Parts: sequence; structure tokens; C-alpha cells
Amino acid sequence: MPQPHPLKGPNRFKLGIFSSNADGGLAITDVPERWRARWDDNLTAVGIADRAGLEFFLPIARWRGFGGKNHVREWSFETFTWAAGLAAVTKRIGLFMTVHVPIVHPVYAAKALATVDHISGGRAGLNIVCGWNPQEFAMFGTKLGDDAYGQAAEWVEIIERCYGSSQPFDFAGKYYDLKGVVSRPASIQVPRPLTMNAAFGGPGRDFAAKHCDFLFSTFSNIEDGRGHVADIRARSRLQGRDVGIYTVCHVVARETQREADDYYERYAVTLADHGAVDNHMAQKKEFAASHDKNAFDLYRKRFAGGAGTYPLVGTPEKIVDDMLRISNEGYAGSALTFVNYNYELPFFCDRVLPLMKQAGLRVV
Amino acid sequence: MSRPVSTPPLHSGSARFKLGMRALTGAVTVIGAYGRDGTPLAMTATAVTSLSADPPALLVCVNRSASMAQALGVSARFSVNILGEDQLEVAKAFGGQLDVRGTGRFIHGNWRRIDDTEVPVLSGSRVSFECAVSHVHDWATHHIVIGTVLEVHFARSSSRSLVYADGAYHAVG
Repeated sequence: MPQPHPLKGPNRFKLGIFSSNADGGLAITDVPERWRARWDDNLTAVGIADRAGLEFFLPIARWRGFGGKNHVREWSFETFTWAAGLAAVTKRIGLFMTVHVPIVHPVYAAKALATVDHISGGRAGLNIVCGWNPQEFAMFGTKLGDDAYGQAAEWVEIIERCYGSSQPFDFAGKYYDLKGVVSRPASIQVPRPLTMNAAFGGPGRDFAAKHCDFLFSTFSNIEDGRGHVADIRARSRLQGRDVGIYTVCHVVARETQREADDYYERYAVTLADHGAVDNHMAQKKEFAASHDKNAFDLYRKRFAGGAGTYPLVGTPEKIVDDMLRISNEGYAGSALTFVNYNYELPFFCDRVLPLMKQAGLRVV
Repeated sequence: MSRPVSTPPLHSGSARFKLGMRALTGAVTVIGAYGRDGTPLAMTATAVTSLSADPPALLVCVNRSASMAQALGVSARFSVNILGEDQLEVAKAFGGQLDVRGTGRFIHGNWRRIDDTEVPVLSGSRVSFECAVSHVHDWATHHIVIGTVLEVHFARSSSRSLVYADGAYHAVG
């Protein structure tokens, strides 16, 4: 029998790696060691994470970059094919795909997702995103819809129906009118691979409460986390579902606090790719509903450091203290980003993971 | 086919029967199947019995008001998963004892689709029996379902068995 999906495993605070498929990871920096996201880089990173027992790898879906000196994120691997490649060379780790509802047809998505679920032996996951960037949509000749989550609800229902029966079915919705749909193989996971979403607004969170197993939510201060947790729990309880709540953090772990602070200042301020930071912040502020609004005004450094996510910067002890506080707010885990995953993950795994075990955050 | 005999039931009604049945210790199982519309269904059950070894068959009793009763028509495929003590949450989720409904329950437990038969099987159970319905017998409020066993899946886990007795879950073994 296949192994359980790692996100259903025993650790109280689960960990994953975010955005290794894209240039810069989540940072917007010009330091020479910045993440280049080549295929070999991804293979090395997923190997470290898989052997260390981290629960998941989560890619970002980007179709164009944010300009600036390095055209940050312009180089990014498509996520179905990326996950399929990583699935074949890993043993335990969960592998998400991040898929834009308006860009990828659900019948195609159902088959691609099932394919990765089979390659990985039931370790696939689906990050359902509606998109926010009009420049990316223009590349596909489409515009942002008014009812993005209404379309997303039909989209995921079609995928579930594809898996539910080998008998062809018709689907007549507002956004999709499909005849004789059949898709085999179905996913190994029942009813479908685990799903997640990172919506911040009400309609997106209601969509997640109804259709997703996990919701990722950022915060400006750890103490603000409980408000998000309470909101998401209330929405998911109404749907009779138990949605796990995760966050995203960018990490600088060093033996001393000073070393960590100095490096954070270096890559996210002194050597930030300022032109790209300006572009990214301006676009996100105008169009995205994925961030706490304070993040834009107060935390330019956090945008350069990790696209507005929360910073875990300091000694291994400090980082574990912060994660314990995040866990105590009700979060089930975090996706992590680093300036260079391969240079920094070994230190994180060697020094931080054992302390997490001591703190009761992880058992394996 | 034998017919029900019209003996008058226990004068005090079902309450005294239920009180007595608390003493009958039952192995905790979860039954998994697909509904006719393709929705996966599963329910926690203790009314599961070994019926015969040749052919391998077992017997499951399901209240006809449960959606599972509709799913278990003749020739339908289903699984009977015998739970270990580490699956207490799964037992509660599919026994209606947690705040989850419908397919939302499937966040609990590692449900896997068997390749050819597509039966949903609860991976990590002590053992999972993959079955096909051979016969359904009506009795009052319940369906008595006879399942022919198609395959037996063993877990690697050395978990103790989960049982239900006196209105509570226990581990034995």
C-alpha cells in the first residue's frame, strides 16, 4: 500500500519549501548567490528536503517577471511538469502544483494532476489560484474575471467529477459547458489530491472553506494570526470541513542574531533589486487580495526579503521560538523560503529541526 | 429465504436492547465505497462479521437511511477497513463525532483508490478487505449486505486494534 500523504503525518508544525521553481525564490535581491532556479538547483533542494522529512514542496505560478535588474521570477518552471520531474526522484515529500484556474482547463488539469499523483504514489497536491496580475492575463488574451471564485468552484467540481466515475458526464455551468467528459486514471488519493489556496479576501476564503484542505495566510505580526485562524475556522465549520491553516515565512538562520540581521539587511535592503521591488509592490497593491494591507506600507524590506511574508530571522533558537508562537496562534505549519535554498537548507535542517523536536513541534 | 417471525419484541422497546448491546465489544471498521453520483462515501461501523472463508465473504449491516445503503447495491465494490488505535480520529470523523460532513470527512485518514477496481481503501488500517456485494437482505430498518472478498491489503503498522465497548473506544492487542 502507498505511504500516507506527508501532510497527513504526525508533526504538529509541518514545513515545506515555497517558490524554488522561480528565479529569486521569493526574494527580490541582487546578491550574487541569489536563487537561479535551474533544474539542478531544484533537484538538489528537493533532495535535501525529502531526506530531512520536510512535508511539502510548493511552487509559485508565474508567467512573467517583475522587471528590475534581474527580471526576477521571469524564469520559472511550469508546475505540473516540474512536480512530475521531482516526483520521480523523491520518496516521501508532498509535491504541489500551482495552477491558474482561468488559464488551465479543468479537464486538462484533472489528467495532469492524476498523472503526478501516480508518478509520486499519492503525494500530489493542488494549489488552486485565480490569479491577480493583469499583465500575465494579457499574455493569454484574457482579463481578470469579476467572479473568479465562482469559476474556480466549477473548475474544482469538474476535477472531482472526473475522478469520481469512469462513466462520461456532461457539465452545464456558468463558465464551463462540457459534453461526455471522462478522464482516467483517477488520482490515487480519494476523493482527489489535497488542495490548497492562499486567498485573503472573503470570497476566496469561502471558496477555500468549501473546496480546499489547506489555506495559506500571511500576517504582519504573529499576534495577528489568531484573527485569521478564527475567521477561516468559522468559515470552514459552516461547510462541515476542517481546513488546515498555514503561513509562509522567509528565513535567515545563522549561529548569531547579528549575522542573521546583517545578512537580512544586505540582501533585502542594501542589495535589493529596487526596481523590481517597486514594480512588484505597485502591482500587488493594486490588484492582489493576498496580503494584509499593512504589509505594503510598512514592510518594503519584507517585500524584497520574501514578497511580504513574515521574516524568521535569527538564531535557530529564535526561529523555533517564533514558530512556536505561530503554532500557538493555531497554524498547522509554514512554507519557507530562503535566498539560496541549497546553501541555507542544510543549516536549517541540521540546527533548527532538532530544536523543533525538543520544543514539541515535530516528532520526526 | 426465511421470513421474519412475528414474535412480539421486547416490551420495554429498544432502550433496554441498546443498554445490553453496550456490553458487546466490537472491532471498529470503516466502510468505504462510491455513491452512485461518484461521490466517495465512508462510515464507521462495528456491525461487521466474518461470514465464510470458502468463499471468503463477510457481512455488513447498514441502516437503510444511510447513504451507504444506497451505494451498496448488488455488484457494487466497497472496502472494509479494520482500524488500529492510531486511527481514532478517523473512526470519530466517519462516525459523525467530529465537526466534519460529507466529503469533508476525507481529510481524516489516508484514502487511496485501488487501481483497477477504484475502490476507496483506507491506507494504514490494520487490514483492508476489498469486496463486491453479492447479496443484500432487508431486515426492518437495516440492509444486511454480504460481500465477497476480492483482495486483502495488509498494513505495515504494528498498531493495536481499535474496539468499541461500553460507549467508548479502547485499544486491545
